[in-house]
Amino acid sequence: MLDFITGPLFIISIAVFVVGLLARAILYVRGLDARLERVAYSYHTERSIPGALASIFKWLIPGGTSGWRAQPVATFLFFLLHFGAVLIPLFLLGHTVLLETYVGISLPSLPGGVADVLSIMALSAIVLFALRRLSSPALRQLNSGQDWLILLLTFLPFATGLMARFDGSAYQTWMIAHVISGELFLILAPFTKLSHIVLFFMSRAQIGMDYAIKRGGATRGGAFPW
Amino acid sequence: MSELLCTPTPVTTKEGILDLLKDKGGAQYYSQMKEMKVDQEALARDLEQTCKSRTRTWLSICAHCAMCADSCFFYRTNNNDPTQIPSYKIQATLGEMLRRKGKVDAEFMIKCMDAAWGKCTCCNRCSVYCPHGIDTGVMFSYLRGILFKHGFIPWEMKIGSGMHRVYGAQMDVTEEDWVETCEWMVEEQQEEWPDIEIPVEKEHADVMYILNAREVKHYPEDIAQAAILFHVTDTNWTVPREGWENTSLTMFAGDWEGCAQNVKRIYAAIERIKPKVVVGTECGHAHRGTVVEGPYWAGRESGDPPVRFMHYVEWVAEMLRTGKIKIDPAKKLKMPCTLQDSCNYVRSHGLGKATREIMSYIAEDFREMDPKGDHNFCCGGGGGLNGIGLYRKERNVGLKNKLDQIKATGAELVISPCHNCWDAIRDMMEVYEEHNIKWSFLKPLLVDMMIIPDHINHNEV
Amino acid sequence: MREKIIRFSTTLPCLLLLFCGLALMPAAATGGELFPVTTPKISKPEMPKVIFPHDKHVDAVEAKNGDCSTCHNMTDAGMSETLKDVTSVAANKQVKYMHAACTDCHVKAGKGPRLVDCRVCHNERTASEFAGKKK
Repeated sequence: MLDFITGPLFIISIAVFVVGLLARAILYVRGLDARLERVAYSYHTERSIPGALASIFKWLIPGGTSGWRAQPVATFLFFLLHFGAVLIPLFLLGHTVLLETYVGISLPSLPGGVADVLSIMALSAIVLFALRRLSSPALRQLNSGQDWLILLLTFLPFATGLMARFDGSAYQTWMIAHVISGELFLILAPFTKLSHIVLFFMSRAQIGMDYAIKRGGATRGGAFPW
Repeated sequence: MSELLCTPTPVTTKEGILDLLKDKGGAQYYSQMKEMKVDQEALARDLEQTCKSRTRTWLSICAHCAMCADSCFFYRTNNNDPTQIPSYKIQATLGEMLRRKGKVDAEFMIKCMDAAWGKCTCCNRCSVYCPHGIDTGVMFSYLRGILFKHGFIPWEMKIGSGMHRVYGAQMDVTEEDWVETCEWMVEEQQEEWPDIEIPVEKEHADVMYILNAREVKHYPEDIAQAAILFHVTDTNWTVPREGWENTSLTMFAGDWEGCAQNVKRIYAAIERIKPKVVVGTECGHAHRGTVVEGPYWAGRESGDPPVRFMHYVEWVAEMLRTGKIKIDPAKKLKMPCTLQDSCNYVRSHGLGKATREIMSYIAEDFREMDPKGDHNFCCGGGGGLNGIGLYRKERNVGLKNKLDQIKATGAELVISPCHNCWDAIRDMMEVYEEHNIKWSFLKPLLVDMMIIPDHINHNEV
Repeated sequence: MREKIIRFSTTLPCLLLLFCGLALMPAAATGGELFPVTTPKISKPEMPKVIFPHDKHVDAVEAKNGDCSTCHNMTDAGMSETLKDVTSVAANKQVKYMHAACTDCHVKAGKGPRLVDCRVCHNERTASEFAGKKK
């Protein structure tokens, strides 16, 4: 049973994750329609490509856009979560060892202390996000089941991972829970709002291109000032 | 009155327009709307065929983070009402329509209409503040198109769409009215400006000027001022006989077919006249409808118009920059003034640079609004809202945001090179009883403060 | 001749028994002899040192009718003290080698930590206790 969960099921969940997200990205691009959307996607690449890149990268920097600066609390929570949520799955030593053994990809690994801090930051952020969802009148108007689902899906691997890290007595139990919750995250990602892992980049590239090609790219003098 | 005023069929006859106009305020029209059946199959088909991955992804990927809330002036002016959050507004309407695959009733469609025209001016400001870059304004514009096709649009929008389809202009101004008005303005100005003319259909002119029917119908002085400015800059200009009007109530109404007709009419004029440049009057949505969105409606794949188009502010900036218009330093604006950034040509076309260049020539005490430029707020009356009686109350509430911005600058004059912004500012001063702030287009200011070149014949009158 | 054989065949097992008895004496709280894994030399270890429970493994191997050669190569100089071919692999590949060799055997045997059970082998408490005892 354990061998299945840590062996074939792990491979399956990675495969579903990668293939699923790739499919979401490809379907997104194929579903764009220059005529219906009135954006000449294949024209003016000399400004649409910088526009798409600016649109993506400015938003990846804390406070890098007016949008972030206008919402300091949301910004803080967002980066508190995403630094860990992106770096830990990819660069935690335990994960890089597995990735190298099972998939053959070699990634550099984070120092242990850094990994601990990032994980605790990410977990705290999830809890704070949940509190924000419960207490903000604006968010209470918007909340849906999917929002809670992805909070849970993200909470579980971090919580069980940290418990395994710090609680020696039930280590293997926490590890099994961690592996299962991690695999659940991977398998469900392409089918839930977790697909923003790729769709964030697609959507931001699209709006960046829209503004660059059509809405002022030729006259503004530079990319849109996000 | 027993005829059917509210149907999915667009108005394409004078009689149709008159029938609608007779129904004061649209009372019959709106009550008939409640009984109008929704063709659910057709709606499902429309959504299937026209709503693709961009919009569907926007709706499904929304993280419900509420960062768009504070970006929207409707949210701010309605006490941070959560039902005014852009994400909520679109999810409850278009989102719901998609989830139900078009199986909705008239009551739902009316709710969608109320949101699409009464709770959104399609200013696109939310797109700037969403981490995913979701453009709720674009989605509401799309929704307007769906609602137009099924007949659930405000009364004034139905009339406006009809006007464009029948008269080729947003008001009942015929070709004769138009040309006669030009002749009349020339006559009026002849004494002061002996050599002034408004050439009609002059082939190979450098500049083809297109404008707003409101100017013809309600303040033709604007046409005279335009003519004067072209005159003193020695511009080789003309106006078309047909295709002279570049506004687009059809765009506000979601009448894409009507939009295409408008744009093609103007491009046809370009083919006849073959100008080097087309200059549009001080109107925001005209620029958006003809230059930004227009090329697509006319079937131009590149999204570029067939010839260079300049919004009036681009032309003025060029004239000032090249010294063709010189400002008398003694007549420069001395009072504190501020600048309205019209969404449709600033956020949506980057012309905030041009307007600020102009301000540097004409104003000594220019105060920026906060936020400014591409991040500025809608005036509160855009997207056709100024003209829709059904949502007048909602509009008046929304105006407060812009008024607060203006007052915060301490300005006594707002420069507003856009008809809808100009109207909104006029109305907000009235609604909120502000008597000490003035507002103006560029043309009258320029005519007043320019130095008349020596070689131009001019008589003091 | 027979006496020599009898003497040899009793003395040798006795010596072996004595040797084994000494070796099997409890050396740590976990019971059984513990060896720190020393290949490769890591100057800045990210994980606690692996303290290998050798006796536990000897029992497991013997239960399957195996012997020392299951894990140790025989060389001219005698039995190697390291795991199979680990020293003939480049230093930067030795961790990977050991991960694979150890966990493969655990999977085949149906017991023992898998590669996800990092801290079963890299146990902080065991490593610090062992280090304390060494001092």
